[in-house]
Amino acid sequence: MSWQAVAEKDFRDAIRSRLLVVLTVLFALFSAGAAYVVTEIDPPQQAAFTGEVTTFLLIVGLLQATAVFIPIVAIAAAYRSLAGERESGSLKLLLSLPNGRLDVVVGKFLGRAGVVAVALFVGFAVGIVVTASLADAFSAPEYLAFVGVSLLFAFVFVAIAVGVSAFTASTSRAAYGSFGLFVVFQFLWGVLAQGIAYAANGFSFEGIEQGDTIFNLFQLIQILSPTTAYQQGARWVIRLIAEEQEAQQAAADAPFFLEDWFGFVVLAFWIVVPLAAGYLRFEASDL
Amino acid sequence: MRRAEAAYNMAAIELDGVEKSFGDVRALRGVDLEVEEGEIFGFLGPNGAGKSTTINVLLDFVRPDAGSVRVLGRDAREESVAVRERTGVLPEGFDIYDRLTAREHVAFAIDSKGTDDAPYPVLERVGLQDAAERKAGGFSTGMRQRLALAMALVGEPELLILDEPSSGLDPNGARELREIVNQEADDGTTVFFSSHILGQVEAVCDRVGIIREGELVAVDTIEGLRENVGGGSTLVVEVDSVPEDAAHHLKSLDGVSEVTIEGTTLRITCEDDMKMDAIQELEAQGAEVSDFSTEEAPLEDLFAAYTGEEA
Repeated sequence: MSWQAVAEKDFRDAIRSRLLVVLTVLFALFSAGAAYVVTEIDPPQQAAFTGEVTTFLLIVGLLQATAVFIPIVAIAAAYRSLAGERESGSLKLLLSLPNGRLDVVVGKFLGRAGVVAVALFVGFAVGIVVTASLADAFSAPEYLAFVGVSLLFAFVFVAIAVGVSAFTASTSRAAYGSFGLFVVFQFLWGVLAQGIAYAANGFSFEGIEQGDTIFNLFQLIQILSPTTAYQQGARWVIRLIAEEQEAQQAAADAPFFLEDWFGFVVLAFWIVVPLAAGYLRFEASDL
Repeated sequence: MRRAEAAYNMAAIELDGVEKSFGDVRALRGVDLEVEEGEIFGFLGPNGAGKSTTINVLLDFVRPDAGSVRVLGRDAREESVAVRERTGVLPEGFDIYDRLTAREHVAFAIDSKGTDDAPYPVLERVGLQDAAERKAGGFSTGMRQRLALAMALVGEPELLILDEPSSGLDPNGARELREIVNQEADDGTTVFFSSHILGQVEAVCDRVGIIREGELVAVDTIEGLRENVGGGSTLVVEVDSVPEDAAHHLKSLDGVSEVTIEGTTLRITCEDDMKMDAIQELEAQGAEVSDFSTEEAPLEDLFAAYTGEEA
């Protein structure tokens, strides 16, 4: 097994790219700026009600922004991972060594995941300073939990970008594919879920009520989007830490996929499936 | 230990009926080839003849449509990683990692192969010791070629596969490459390398194979190729004056295939044992022979004879 060698090589190579420096700086600016916006300019409604911006409320506010920004950073860091090496020819060097194609896909994922982790940690470290100084009651464990779940979310888009990158020898196609999927998850998934519910209900929205099968189907499809799963998972963990009792308020008879922990199952799914699909395609192709 | 299999005189490379098409293009049309352990084998052919596809099949970069491929006694497809653990490869059309140093490249090869070599001595062998800590992005084509060769040499491979190794090397670099190839072969390493120029392989190869339009058209030693092409040598005769009808008379001799005349010089392509007969025939026609010599057919003509290309 030489995936460690591939991961280490890839990490060293990618960490020195100018793109990464740019992304890290952007991310630092973003996390500081977003924290400022959420606390000072556009606080969550609940904060207006209680008059206090807690770490929890701050993070809930930030989640809207990180859900868009993190995928962009992750895709930008990973879309070239395999297609770029195929395009340039360095993949021939990589595969003339005794690296299996599975080693290459796994190693690439880990290498890029490491790179994105560095960018996020640096960015969030800046964010934490700003957040700590702005939130009325700063809770480090809650913030760290937020960083942890965000990292997992970033890995999802690293996996998607590496998986797509394994499908093609063209970096531009890899970019279109990855960003296209991001757009689908971010902006079209809700429409898709509605469309499916509409079709399943005999091409009408009439008679769909909370709790019935078609409504549940609609909710299931919605939660299957990594973006929704991320937001749900982050809220769950932070509530657990904050021990806010409303976290457990989800009705006992609600379907399992509506429970907050299910977000993590979805995130794990979106890490494994794109990598597996990418590997199978890569394994079968002539280089 | 390393040569345990040599006792069985195993083939290092065995291709049997290998076919591969890319869309409508039939890149390999049933290639059979056996390269023995320990030999230096030159794989020749014009660009686009199927050399790289053959090498890509050996490395499992490309999967054949039909036929079997075994390298170092193992299936090239199913056991590719095991094959590459014992094979050093200098691929064609590769690129290096711009942001990694030369030493990091070799360290990566060491990690991938799981050996305990040190990077520096390997870099020294290919003459890159002074560039060890430089990022490879600034390397010339020749330096990139040396770096990839260094990566190939890591772990004392039993087989070296070099795809167009001299491209990008200056004459000095090409000579150093030949030295390294010879050193490796002296250690018992099998060397398989491709080229589109026969002159490059003549000096080092035990045998050569010539591929043309996806088919192997010859596998032999260089001398064997010369003999097979026929009229391997040319007799050059200098006379005082060329007798009338000399060409006609000479050609009527058995074993003389071609006669050209330039001024008072005759170039007679013939079998070796007909040379004296040819000279005697000229003298019988009344010519006085002042000088004669023999020339071997130029390698380019030999190559052209097999590949059907203009040299």
